[in-house]
Amino acid sequence: MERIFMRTWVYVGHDSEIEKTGDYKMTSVGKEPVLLTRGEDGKPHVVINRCSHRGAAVCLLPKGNVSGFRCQFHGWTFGLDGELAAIPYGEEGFDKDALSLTRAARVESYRGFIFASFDPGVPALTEYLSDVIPYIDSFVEWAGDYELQVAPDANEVVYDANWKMQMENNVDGYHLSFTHQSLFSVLQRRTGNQSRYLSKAATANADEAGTATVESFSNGHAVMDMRYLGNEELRRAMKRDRLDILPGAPAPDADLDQYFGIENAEDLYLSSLGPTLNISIFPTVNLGSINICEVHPLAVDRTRVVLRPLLLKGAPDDINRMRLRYHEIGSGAAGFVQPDDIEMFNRVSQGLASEEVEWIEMTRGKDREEVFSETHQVSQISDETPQRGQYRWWREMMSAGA
Amino acid sequence: MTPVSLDEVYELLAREAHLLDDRDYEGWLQLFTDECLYWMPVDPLSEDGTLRLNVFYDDRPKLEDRIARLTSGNAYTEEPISLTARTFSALQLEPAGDDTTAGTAVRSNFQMIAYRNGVQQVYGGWYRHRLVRQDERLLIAEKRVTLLGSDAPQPAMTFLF
Repeated sequence: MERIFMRTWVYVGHDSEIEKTGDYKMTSVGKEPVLLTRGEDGKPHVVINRCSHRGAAVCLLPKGNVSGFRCQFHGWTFGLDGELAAIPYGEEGFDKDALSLTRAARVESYRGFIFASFDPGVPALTEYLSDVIPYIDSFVEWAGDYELQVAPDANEVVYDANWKMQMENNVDGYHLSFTHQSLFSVLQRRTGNQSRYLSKAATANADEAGTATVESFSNGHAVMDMRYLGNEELRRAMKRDRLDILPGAPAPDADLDQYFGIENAEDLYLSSLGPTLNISIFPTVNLGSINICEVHPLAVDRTRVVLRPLLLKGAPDDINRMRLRYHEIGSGAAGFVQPDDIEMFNRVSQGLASEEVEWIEMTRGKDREEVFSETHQVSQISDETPQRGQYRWWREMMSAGA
Repeated sequence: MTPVSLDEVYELLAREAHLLDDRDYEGWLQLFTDECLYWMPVDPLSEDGTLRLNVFYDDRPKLEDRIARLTSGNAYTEEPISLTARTFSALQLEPAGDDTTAGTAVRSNFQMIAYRNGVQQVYGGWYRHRLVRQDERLLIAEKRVTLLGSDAPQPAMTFLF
């Protein structure tokens, strides 16, 4: 936990979660319980949720708007930036400056995504993200000029395996047709169309998969990119199929401009599936579909995952309603996708309990991936290129200063 | 519409509970109207699920999808299957709306034990059924499940509530 989470940038939240001064969100950086706040200065601050006096948590509710934090144990109060404001019954003998809530050394954001680091020596956030920046841009710009707005509710699940399982999974194109076979058979049953991303080995292995790729970058980041799978016409039809079956969807032959009350409504409606691009940002956030996936390690074999759907600020309610319905089909403890993923993570945990067998196999595509540098490879959708990159970086961080 | 009695409601909800615990999903579906809604909000206090996020929000076709998926043999969280046993109590009936076609709203408390793979979980909360009479049969037009902890991290809940 220390070697990874206390030495690098960790995602803590999105601008839209702390829009106004006093807005805060409770989250974590590794095992540190932290509060992300919007300060009087309009900037995001990240402080550890632990009173500097006797250590009690100063905040109990997951989000809200406050003027500051008051520890209810002995009444010490703190500002939104963690500064110690007042000590009841006299402040003589206390060095108030030294008794603020412990702050993250650095807080920076890129396009609304806020990261914190407890290590002051990390490079600038944009340098850390470097290669994935164009993908983040694409993710943010997918719905045109509409700003992304984190929905007020989130799906949360917990599983009995390591946090890295979720991070591997976000950029694992290989598992889709197998782990999620039941989803694809539901889609096929409803739409009458073959809905698997990868229907047979030939497609999974050859160029007919369009330009669907996986890519591994520096700093443990990775991408699974299905934006250009097949051709434009097929992609639009596939997206429409998936929206048409959702509860409360407009009829397949409805006039969408009229239904949503805007021009070019079909493009915006189809953007409800997101860019079909998964961006895994080391160590613990993934941008994919139309959600932010936060991964919170609880123990070596226990992990909490928060999926926050993204709405479009100022878009018609019916567009945001359909985004929520799309998100619900797969996500959460009762979704059609996520439970099968966490079931596999749990099974891996069970299997890895074996001490007789030490290694796993993660070599798929090693001979055919295109190597641009030691930290940058691109390969076909079903290859394990991203996972190798993630673990290379993880090993490097774990070995540094060991 | 013939007035709805507490006995009739109890009989329907008991039958529903047994069908679910028996995993007779097809039989359970027959208790619902064609325009039904089966849902659980993420926020236990949410009044209306349309513009909020839900743990599930199923119209009849999606409910049929859910059951098709559960029984497909490829929903791996149901291998091995979950066993459930539920009880309900504290039934109260009231008109579901000013319009008599809205039917009868039934509030009840529930507790459910779910067992799978050596792990036993306890769930509890409130049901709100909206019942309507169609061709003399009392049917479920809406079932809202308010689960304590629906907004907290949960393991998979692929069984039905």
